[in-house]
Amino acid sequence: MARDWRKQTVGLLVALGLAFGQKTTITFYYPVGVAGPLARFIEAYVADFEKANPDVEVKTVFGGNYEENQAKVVAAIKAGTPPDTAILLSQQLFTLLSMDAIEPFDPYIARDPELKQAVSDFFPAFMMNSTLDGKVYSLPFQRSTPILYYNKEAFREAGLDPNRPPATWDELVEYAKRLTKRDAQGRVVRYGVAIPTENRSTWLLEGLVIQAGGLLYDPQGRGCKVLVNTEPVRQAMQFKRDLAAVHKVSPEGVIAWGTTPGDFAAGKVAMIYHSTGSLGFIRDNARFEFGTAFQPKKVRYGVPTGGANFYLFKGSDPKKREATLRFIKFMTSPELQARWSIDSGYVAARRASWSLPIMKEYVKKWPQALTAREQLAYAKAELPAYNLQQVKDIIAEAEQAVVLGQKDVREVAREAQARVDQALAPFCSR
Amino acid sequence: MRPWLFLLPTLVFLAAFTYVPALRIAIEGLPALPKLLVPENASSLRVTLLYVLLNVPLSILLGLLAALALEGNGRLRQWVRVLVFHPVILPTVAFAAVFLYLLNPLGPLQGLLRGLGLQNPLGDPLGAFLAVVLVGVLKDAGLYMLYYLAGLQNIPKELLEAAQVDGAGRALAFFKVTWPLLTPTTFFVGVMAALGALRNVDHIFILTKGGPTGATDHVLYRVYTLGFEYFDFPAASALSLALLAFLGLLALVALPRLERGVHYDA
Repeated sequence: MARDWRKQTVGLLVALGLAFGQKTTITFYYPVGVAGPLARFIEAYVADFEKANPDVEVKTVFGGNYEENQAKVVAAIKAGTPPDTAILLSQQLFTLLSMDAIEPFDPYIARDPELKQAVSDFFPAFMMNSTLDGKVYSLPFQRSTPILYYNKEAFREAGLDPNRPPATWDELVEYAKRLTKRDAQGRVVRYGVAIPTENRSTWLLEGLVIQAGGLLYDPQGRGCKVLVNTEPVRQAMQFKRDLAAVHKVSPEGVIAWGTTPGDFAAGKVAMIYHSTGSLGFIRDNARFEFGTAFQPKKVRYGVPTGGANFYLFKGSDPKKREATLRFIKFMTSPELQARWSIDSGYVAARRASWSLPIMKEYVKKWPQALTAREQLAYAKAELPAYNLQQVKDIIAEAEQAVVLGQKDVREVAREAQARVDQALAPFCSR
Repeated sequence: MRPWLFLLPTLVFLAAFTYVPALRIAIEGLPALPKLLVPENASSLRVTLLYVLLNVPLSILLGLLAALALEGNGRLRQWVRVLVFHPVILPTVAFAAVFLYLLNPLGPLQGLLRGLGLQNPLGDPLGAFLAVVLVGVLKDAGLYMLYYLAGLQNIPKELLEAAQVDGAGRALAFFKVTWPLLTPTTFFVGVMAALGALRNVDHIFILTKGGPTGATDHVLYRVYTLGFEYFDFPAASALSLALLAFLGLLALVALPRLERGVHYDA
């Protein structure tokens, strides 16, 4: 028995040695942006890829959340050792271009029918942040849109139809008033609605701006025109303020992004705005029937797309590049996208994923997963800008000042516009 | 020659990970110093000063009070000491995460918080600032208690007995005997607390990320933001340099003055 074991070990070592001789090693950085054990899923997919491709070894680096992962990749680029590929926010395109760090996929798409097929099979909304001047710079992996989650039990309790979620901002307020529950002393036991105002992010604000008929940037602006001082932006900020200050259906102050799904699952808030990526967490933790819906409109439906894509970095040799592309094709294949969507709640980015048997079965059991896909028809590209994080911080701070009632929304929007223009100037005045 | 040989391992590591990077920071940061004159940095500086001014005295006071209350050997006292000390052992991140949960507007403390007029403390500039101070103070007070307990043990019992014989009450004995003889400890703890308040910002990453509206944007957190979120390394280097210069000034000017009030003759 013992000898047997030893023999096997020797055999394994020889095999490994042989394998190492021909193995191509690629590095891959990835983030995790929502609640749940997502890193474990990604490591499992990588292991499956390696099993199917014994000549490739993928060195994975878990980079933390989106911002931390971005920082690690930029540090690696500056140190002269860029990764072969990384998953970074789709809206980082301009920042990465300004560092001259990434390459377009086009030469490989032209050569590889499978890749070409993939590019035409992604939902167009998920490719909006990927393309510039007709070139494809990134491929979708963990993509989402923000949606409305609502507690059907609370709806029934408040005498609302659980199959008719609010469709307009006015309805949202009206429903939220009925859903807000107070105890005998007048203390709130359950809030009607919570729309997080996350530090450092403009994602949910962007959705409200689109719903009010605007957009946070000029689509022709090439990452240089960010529009803060507009009527839809002011309306969006004021709406968030009014939910707590005027209508009293939302907690006062800035609502944290991270704890909101937990509050919803615990029944403390009846409706929340959050990423579809949190569907997995809510599905596993809510002990009541819940629904998902489009975010209500003011003048139109609409949300920004969100999430992160695969990028190709400069400085990879042809052998590594070939292995990298094989890996990316694997990770964006219809089968894997379906599996990832079921594991996490992210939207499977390939249209073909949705006609696979496992996906059909999943959707039958959890029709809530369909909302985000259908909402894609109304989605816009997420704010693309140079100096992205600083621009986002300025806007998020302005939004917070309005939500906290520190300043008038007109003054805030004007100031934020001036600061954003200043932050963009070094990248855009050329 | 021999001493240098012994020093070599330490020097190599310090050079590789401290001196050379520090030099690079100086080279990159110096030309960017004028870039620091923006309102965000001024507000960050104000936040940091307030933070230090609140954090240092509060953590020292809490440490001293705990030491005075828990001096001696009773079993109960030992247990309470463990309770006060345990945040020191916990990773700051874990300790802060507990408060993230406690201070949630719909969390377990909601009744108490509402009573204080802070329904959503982390979502409010003042509340968030106080929360960051509170977590910093609770995290460090246990360690200072330990130093004070050691300091109290070094005070000769005869002195206190003599004071008693002379008719001094407990308060008088404390202010005339215990406190002066604790000044070396207080001096040391004060320096540690000031450095800690300027250097330990882990809990800000967890609790507030510098927000809302910059209310908890500690200078060191801002250095991180500039360097690793805006990728403006010159500006981040310049701000680090400024912080270093300030600390150097503190060490050269303020410390010797403060030390004059210290009794070392216990």
